[in-house]
Amino acid sequence: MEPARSGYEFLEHTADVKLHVWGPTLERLFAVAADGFYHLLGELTPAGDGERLRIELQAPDLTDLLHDWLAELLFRFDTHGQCVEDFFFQEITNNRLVVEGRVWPVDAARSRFDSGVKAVTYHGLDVTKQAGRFEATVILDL
Amino acid sequence: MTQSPSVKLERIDACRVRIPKDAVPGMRVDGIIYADETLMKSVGQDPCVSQVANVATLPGIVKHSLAMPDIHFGYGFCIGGVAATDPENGGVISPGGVGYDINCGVRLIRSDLAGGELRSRVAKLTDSLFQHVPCGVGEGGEVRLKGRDLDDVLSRGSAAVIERRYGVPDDAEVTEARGALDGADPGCVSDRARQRGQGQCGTLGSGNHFIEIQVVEEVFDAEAAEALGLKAGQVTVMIHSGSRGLGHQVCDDAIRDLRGVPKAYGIDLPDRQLVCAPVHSKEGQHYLKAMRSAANFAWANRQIMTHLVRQAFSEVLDRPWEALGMHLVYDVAHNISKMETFEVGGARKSLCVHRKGATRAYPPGHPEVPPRYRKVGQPVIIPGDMGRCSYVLVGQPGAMESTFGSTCHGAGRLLSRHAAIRAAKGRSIQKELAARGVYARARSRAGLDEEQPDAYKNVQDVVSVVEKAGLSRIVCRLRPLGVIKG
Repeated sequence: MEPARSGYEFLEHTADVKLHVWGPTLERLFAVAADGFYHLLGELTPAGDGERLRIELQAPDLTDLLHDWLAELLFRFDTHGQCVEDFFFQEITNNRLVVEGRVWPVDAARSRFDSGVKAVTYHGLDVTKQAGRFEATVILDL
Repeated sequence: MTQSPSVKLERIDACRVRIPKDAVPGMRVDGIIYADETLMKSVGQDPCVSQVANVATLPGIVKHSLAMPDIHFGYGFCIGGVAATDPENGGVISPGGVGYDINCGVRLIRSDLAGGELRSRVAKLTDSLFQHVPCGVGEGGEVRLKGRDLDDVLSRGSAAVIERRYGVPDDAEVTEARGALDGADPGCVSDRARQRGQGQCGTLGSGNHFIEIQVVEEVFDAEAAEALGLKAGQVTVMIHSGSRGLGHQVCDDAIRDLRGVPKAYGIDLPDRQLVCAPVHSKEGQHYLKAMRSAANFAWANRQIMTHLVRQAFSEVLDRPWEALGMHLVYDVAHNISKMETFEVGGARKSLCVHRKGATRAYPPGHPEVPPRYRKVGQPVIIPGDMGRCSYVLVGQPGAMESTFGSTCHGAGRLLSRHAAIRAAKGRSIQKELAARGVYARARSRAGLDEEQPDAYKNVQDVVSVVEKAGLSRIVCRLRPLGVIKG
């Protein structure tokens, strides 16, 4: 059986969490990174239908772009209690991404919260491409 | 840079190990790790040792790159890291030397209550704390800070919320730096950080943050205990929390803003997470002003929770908190950077001290120790992990001589969060704690499983080393009775 072409897993780390992500395209890589991030937060139930949103980010390089993508999701969750889903990447390059999706408020009473993420660190963060596969490991400070 | 067994280590004495400055290229000073043989064995192969060596490469570093006995791996600096730089000599400020949770710290509240008489009410008191203090992911507080109100908290810390009825002026007198660092500038805090913080002041957070009801189990220094208002069998409450999303964002902003800055100043870094700027630079000053603002937010945060704790106790016991004697003993920061004066080469110098998972420990007689404690030294509060004992220490002259007035801050993790969760499978950590006499309430099961006692090193081993090394002296040990967690 072939390994999944894209996915995420959590690797051992003493104090925090190491999220390992991979995918055949940048779109898949960034999408599974979001999946892994939300998995870490817990089981989140939406309150209502949410609304459409557009996120535009620019960064000096791909590594910073991945950091900023997850940091954006963290900011929206931590500040506004929001989750982003049903998204697609209208544009994604080494320096810029444009995402269209839905953002919905989390129903705190019907959600299970597992881990509080303080920050997306830059530690060991490096997006690499080898044999047609993008890969990165992100350490999230809990 | 990762740790390899070939990083040269030399034992200096029973409490200290040296990394000589020729051990790794670029080191400007030696590294010194405070650890006995047993603690050093558990550190052994960990990359945190390399982090001590990396910090020794920072421009303007004075004397040594230090690590306390609770050393473990962090970002840039190890946790337990202490380093002082001389701004007059190109000394730098590095956000990694403060940490993401700026002014994560601890405060201890005393009481006139006795553990024996309170035993039947611990569960009710803990439940009351759980109701009163917002804790856990997604839990907002009763305080909403925007615009000028938030500016005021960022500028004046504890005082700003005390004036808004969340405490009494004496609380600030027994808080490190009187609950506010000078030189904060709310204008240096990003809009994103402000947004993250505005609903979070007066909330506990999650992870290893907690509020604990404790009993003073054993007193080791009767004179110091008396000066601190503590005695055996007495009930205390400990609050461990920091600057919440605001501080985390300030650190994240800084690491991004300082990218490219070291190179511009000709600074070569062995690790990107040691990103820094000269203290006397506009970038360095910008971070310092933002960091101080976040530190002040954290003091306001712990001050509001102090009020909520007093409210919770007052409701259950049906007496005002003053009648319960619930006065603040002291509040310490353990992730911070401050300008402090030390003697270097016969001259008194103002140095930029970084404490990342390390606590200030000023000795008897120091003018910054509150007058009521000046005879015995600055109180140092060392939280144990959940279900295990905490300690109160006082600073000693050895800290001023050797560690820029610093000591340890806690225990340090042994098991990864995953390993802790795996170890907890099929067990009820809550029931196990209850069997040990600890009543625990947590917002998430993970909050208990990941933070179980076995996940941490033994804080007793850590405080023994700092006492033996003359950095601080143990005053008493506190045993948990009830705990709330996110």
